[in-house]
Amino acid sequence: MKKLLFLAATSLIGACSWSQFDDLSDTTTVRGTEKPDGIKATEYGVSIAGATLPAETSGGKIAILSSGSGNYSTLALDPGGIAQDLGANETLGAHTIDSVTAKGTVLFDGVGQVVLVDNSNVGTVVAVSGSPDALSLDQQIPTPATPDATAFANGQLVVGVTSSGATAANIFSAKGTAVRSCLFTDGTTSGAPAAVAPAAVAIDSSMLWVYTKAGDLFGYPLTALDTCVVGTPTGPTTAKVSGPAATNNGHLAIITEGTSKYAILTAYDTAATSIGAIQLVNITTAATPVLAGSVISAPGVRAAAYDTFDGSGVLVLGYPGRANGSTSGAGAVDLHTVTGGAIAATASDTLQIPNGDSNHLFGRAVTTTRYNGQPIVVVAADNVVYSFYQTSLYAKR
Amino acid sequence: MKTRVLFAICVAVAMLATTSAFGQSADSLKKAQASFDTAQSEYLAGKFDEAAARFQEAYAARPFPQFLYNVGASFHMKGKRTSDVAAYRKAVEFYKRYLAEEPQAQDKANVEKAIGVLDDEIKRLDAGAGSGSGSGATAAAPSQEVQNLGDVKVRGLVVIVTEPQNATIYLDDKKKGPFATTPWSGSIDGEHKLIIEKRGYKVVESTISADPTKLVQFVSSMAQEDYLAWVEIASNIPKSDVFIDDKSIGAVGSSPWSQQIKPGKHTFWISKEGYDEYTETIDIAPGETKAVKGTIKGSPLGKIAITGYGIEDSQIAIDGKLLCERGPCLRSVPQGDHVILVTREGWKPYERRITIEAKAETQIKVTLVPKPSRSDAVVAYVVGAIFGGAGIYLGLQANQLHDDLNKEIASAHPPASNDSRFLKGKIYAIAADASLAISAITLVTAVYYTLRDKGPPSTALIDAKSVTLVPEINTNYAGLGMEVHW
Repeated sequence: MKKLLFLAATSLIGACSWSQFDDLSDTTTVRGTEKPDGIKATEYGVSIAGATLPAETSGGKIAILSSGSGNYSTLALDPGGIAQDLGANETLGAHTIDSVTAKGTVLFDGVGQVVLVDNSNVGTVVAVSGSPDALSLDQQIPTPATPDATAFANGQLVVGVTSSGATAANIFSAKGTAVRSCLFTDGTTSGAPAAVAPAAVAIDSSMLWVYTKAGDLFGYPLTALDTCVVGTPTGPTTAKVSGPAATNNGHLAIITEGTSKYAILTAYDTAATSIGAIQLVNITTAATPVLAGSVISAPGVRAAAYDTFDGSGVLVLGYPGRANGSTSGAGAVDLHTVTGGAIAATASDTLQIPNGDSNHLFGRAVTTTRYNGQPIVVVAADNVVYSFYQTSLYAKR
Repeated sequence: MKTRVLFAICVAVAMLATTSAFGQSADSLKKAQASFDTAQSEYLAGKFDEAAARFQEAYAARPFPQFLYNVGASFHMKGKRTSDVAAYRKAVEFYKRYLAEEPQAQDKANVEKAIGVLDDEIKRLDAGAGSGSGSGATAAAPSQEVQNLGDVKVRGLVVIVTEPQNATIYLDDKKKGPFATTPWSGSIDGEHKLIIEKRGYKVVESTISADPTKLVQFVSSMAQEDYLAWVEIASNIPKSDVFIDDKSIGAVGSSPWSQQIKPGKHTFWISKEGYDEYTETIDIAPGETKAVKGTIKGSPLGKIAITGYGIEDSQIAIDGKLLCERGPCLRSVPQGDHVILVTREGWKPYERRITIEAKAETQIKVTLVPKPSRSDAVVAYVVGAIFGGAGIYLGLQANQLHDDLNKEIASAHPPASNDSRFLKGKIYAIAADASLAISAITLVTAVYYTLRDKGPPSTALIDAKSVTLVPEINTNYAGLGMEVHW
C-alpha cells in the first residue's frame, strides 16, 4: 500500500514536470532531425555530406540529398547542438531532377558549393554553386552515362561514369562553365587499354585516384584533367593493385599517417553481385601501390566515410539493413579505428538507435563534418539525419 | 388512676357540651325553617307585612343575611303595590342591612340599584304628599323606574351546617378545589355531590338538590376519625397537580390540597407542565398533621402543533432532541427560541428557528419535498476516479519512460533527441496532468453536487394563535374563560 502511494505520489510529481522530457531531449548527445515539413521529397537523406568548415567556425553544416521529388537542403547545427533546417528548395536552383535514386550523391564544401549527382537519369548532373571560382551557378552538366563517382579536385568537379557510346568518356571535369570529357583507361591492356568504370574517385595533392567497379585502384596526375581530349585515352601512372570488387560503387578515402599515405577501399554491398568489403592500400609510393593487410569482410555495408577523431583515424561504415536485436532493418554504423597502417577488423564502436523502428535504414548514408571545429559523425536513416556529438571514440563536441 | 378518671370525666363533659350546643343549633335552624316556610306562603299570598314578620322571625332564629334580603323584598313589594312610603323605607333599611352583613354578595350591584331606585321613589312620594295633592302616601302609582325593577322574588337558601364547624366543603369533585367552609349559606342551582372534610373527622359525602324558592338545609354532625393523619399540600405555583404514592393513577387534586391520610410513609409529587417536579417522602403518625410545601421552578409554556403531508412518517425534533417519533405532533414547550427539525427518509428535512410565545399555539404545517437524485454526483465521482486512475497510470508510465531515457542518456549509446519516447513521455506527462486536473475538477464538482441543495427546499406555513385564560362573570356563571386570538 505504501509503495502504491509512493508510486502515485511520484507519478503525480513526474506528471507535473512534463517539460523534463524536453530537457532530457536536449541533454542527449545524439540529435535526430526529422524531414522538415517543407521538404517535398519522399525520401529525406538518401545522401549526406558534411561541410569542411574552418576550425574556428562554431556549429556545423550538413547538406542533405533527398529523392523522389529530388532536392537537397542544408542543415545547420548551432553551437548548442540544435539542428535547424536552412531551407528546403534552395537546392536545385533553376533545374529540376524528377527523381533521385537512393544512390544519389552530394558534395558540399561548406561554403556554398553543392553538387547533386543523379544516377537514375542518365546524362543529368546538376551543380548548384555558390562559389564562382568552382562552378557556375545552377550549372547542368550533361553526361552520357550514369554518374557513379564524384569528387572535388582543386576547384573543379570530377564526375566518373561508365563509358559508353561512340565517343567514349568516363571522367568529366567541370570548372567554371567549361566541361571537359576524358577517357581514363587501365593502361595495362596491351594495344587497347580498357576504359575504367569508376566506383569512387578521390584526390590527393597531385593525383586523381580511381577505384573501379572491378576493384582496381589507379592513379592519374591531376594535370591530366586539364589536358585530356575526348577520344584520346589517358592511362594511369600507377601500377595496378586490386582490391574488392565494387560493382555497386564504393567509397575511396586517401589518408595520411605520418609519412605514409594510404587508400581505403570500401566496396558497397549488393546482395546480387558482391559482398561488402574493406581493403587498405599503401600508396606512399604512388607508382607502386601495395595492399596493406587482408580484405575485411563487411557484408551489408552501403555507406562509408573517414575522418580523424582526437588524433585517431576512424572509418565509418553504414549498414542500413542490419537488424537491431529483433528489429529487422533497424540499421547500424560501425566505427573502425585506422592506425599504424591497419584497419581494425572489429568495430571499435557500433552506433545504433535504441528505439529504432524496423526498416529504419539507419546508416544508409554516413558522413563526417566539422562541428565547433571538431569532427562528428552524421548518419542518415529513413527521413531522419542523426548527429552524434559524442561516441566512445571521441569526447563530447 | 385518679388522673385517668379525671381525664375521662373531662372528655365526657366536653362531648356532652358539644352535643348540647349542636342540638340547640339544630333547633334554631328548625325554627328558622318553619318561619321561612310560613313567610314564603304569606309572601305568595300577597301578605307582605306578615311575610316580612316571619322572615324576621327566621332571622332571629338563624341570622342568615338572605333572610334580611327577603324581609326587604317583602316591604319592597308592599311599597310597590300600595305606594307606601313607609314600606319603601323599610325595604331600603333591610336591603342595606343585608349588604352590611353580606358585603361580598354576588347580587350586590342589583341590590344597590334597587336601593337607589327606592330612595328616589320615596323622595318622589314625599314630594307629592307635601304638595297636598293626595290623601297620603298611597295615592300615587309606582314610578317607571320602580316598574322597571320588576316584581321582587324572595330567595331560597342553601344552608350547610356541620358540627363541628370550619369543615371544608367540596362540590362534585375534590379536584375542583375547596368550595367553602361550614357554616355556609348561599345559592346554588341543581343537584350536586357534597363532600365535607375536616381534620380528625370522617369524610361526609352526600347529595344536595337546591331549590331557589326554598330553604334547603344540610346539617351534619361529623364523626371523629382518631386513627387518621392529616396532610396539607401547597405549592408556589397554584393549581399544580398533586400525586400521592402512585403517579400512575393520576393526580388526586390540585394544590392547595389537604386531606386525611392513613398513617405511615407516603410520597408526594407536585408538578405542573413546564415546571420541575417536586418530590417529598414523609412519615406521618396517627392524628398528626404534616405540611408539604413544594417549590417548583420552570418557565411558562406555549404549544406547538406540527402537521403536514406525510407528517405521519416524519420525525420531529426540537433543539436536537426528539420531540415526536412521528407526526402530527402537539406538544407544550417552554417559551423562547427553538430549532424545529422535521425529517423524513428520502425527503429534504425542514429546519427552522422559531420563537414560541407563552400561552400561544404555534401551528407549523410542513411541506416536505423529495430529496433530489444524487446520480450526477455519483457519475462525477466515477468519472473523477477514472480520470484520476488514468492520470496516475499515465504519470507512472511517464516516470518510467523518464527513468529509462535518463539511464540511456547516461550510457555510452544514448537515444536520439527525436526518439519517440521523448514525445511519448511528454504526451503521457501532459495527459497525466490533464487527467489529474480533470479528475480534480470532476471530484470538486462531485463534492459540490453532493453538498449542493438541489431543487426547492422543504417549506412550512407557520401560524401562531394566542391562548389566554381570562376571568368572566355572567348572570349564569362565574369562572375562567378561554380566549383564542389569531
